[in-house]
Amino acid sequence: MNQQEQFTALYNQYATGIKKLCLGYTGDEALAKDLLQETFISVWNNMKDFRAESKWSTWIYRIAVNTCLGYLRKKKPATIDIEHSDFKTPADYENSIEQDVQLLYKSINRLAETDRFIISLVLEDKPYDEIAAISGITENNLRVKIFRIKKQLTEIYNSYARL
Amino acid sequence: MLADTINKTSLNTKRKMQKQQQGGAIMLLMTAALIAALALFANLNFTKWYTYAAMALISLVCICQAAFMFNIYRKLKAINETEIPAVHLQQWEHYYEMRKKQNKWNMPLYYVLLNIAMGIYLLELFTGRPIVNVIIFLTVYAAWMLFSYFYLGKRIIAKEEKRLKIIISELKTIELQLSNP
Repeated sequence: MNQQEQFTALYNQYATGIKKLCLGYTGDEALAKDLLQETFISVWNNMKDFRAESKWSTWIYRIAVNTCLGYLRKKKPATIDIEHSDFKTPADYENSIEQDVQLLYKSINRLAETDRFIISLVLEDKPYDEIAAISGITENNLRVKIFRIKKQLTEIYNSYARL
Repeated sequence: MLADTINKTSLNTKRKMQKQQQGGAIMLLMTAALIAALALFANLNFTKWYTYAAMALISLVCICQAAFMFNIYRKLKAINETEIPAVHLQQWEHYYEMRKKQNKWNMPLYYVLLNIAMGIYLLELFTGRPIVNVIIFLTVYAAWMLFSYFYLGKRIIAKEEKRLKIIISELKTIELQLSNP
């Protein structure tokens, strides 16, 4: 398999998941697409240096996390004002699952930068050992973080729901 | 091809920063080559050796600045997106710390050396010219240089320093988020 074929296979396999991760970061579809593209440019540029010390998915998701962190550093998303935002509440959406997911992404967007990628990976059903490998933190530390993030996310989500 | 499509539409900031440095370095090298070619082949018929020395100094300053920019390009290229986030963030932090230090001396030094060379170059050019013309030219030249250095230059440096401080502080915040449970 040449580099082009390998790249296409990797793109087909991971693009959807990476886009979800980017969406969790930005809460914006267009920006998520941009970050997805940036991620795969880095994948293309660095493919020749991949040494199979980790899985392809770990390696690609790590690039995506670094790309997202770089984006947030340059352009912080506007903070959402829960009280005064024109954001629709769950009641407006007639309890549709799709709108709940959108609300969840908006809630994730209010978390701290690193918490956003961790919870996005959890929602992607990535195993904890892989999330730890992607983020470069210990599994114990990760478990503590996830517990705290879930608690915080629930509070944010409920604060939207109460509106 | 998928890779081509992606390359055409993306706004990769690291690559953009690399291209800026690479493009700047190439332009400076071309300037140095043009000035050197003029001095060597254009039959300028200057009678003083120091006029040619000034041209050589301008070329040398351009070459040194090009080397400096190429070094920044290499530093950017060395930032590795495949490292774990903490290491990747540290690489950017080191880069911005380096740029912050360089900004303090690079522009003033480049500016002073280039103007010394220009001053020497103009010595012969002004010989035998009407004194009023020389005074008008030097006044306009000096006024522009002083304005661009003390007003525009200082403002740019202050703005850049503020920007770098914010970036470094944000990088430290994210690093802290990663290390704290």
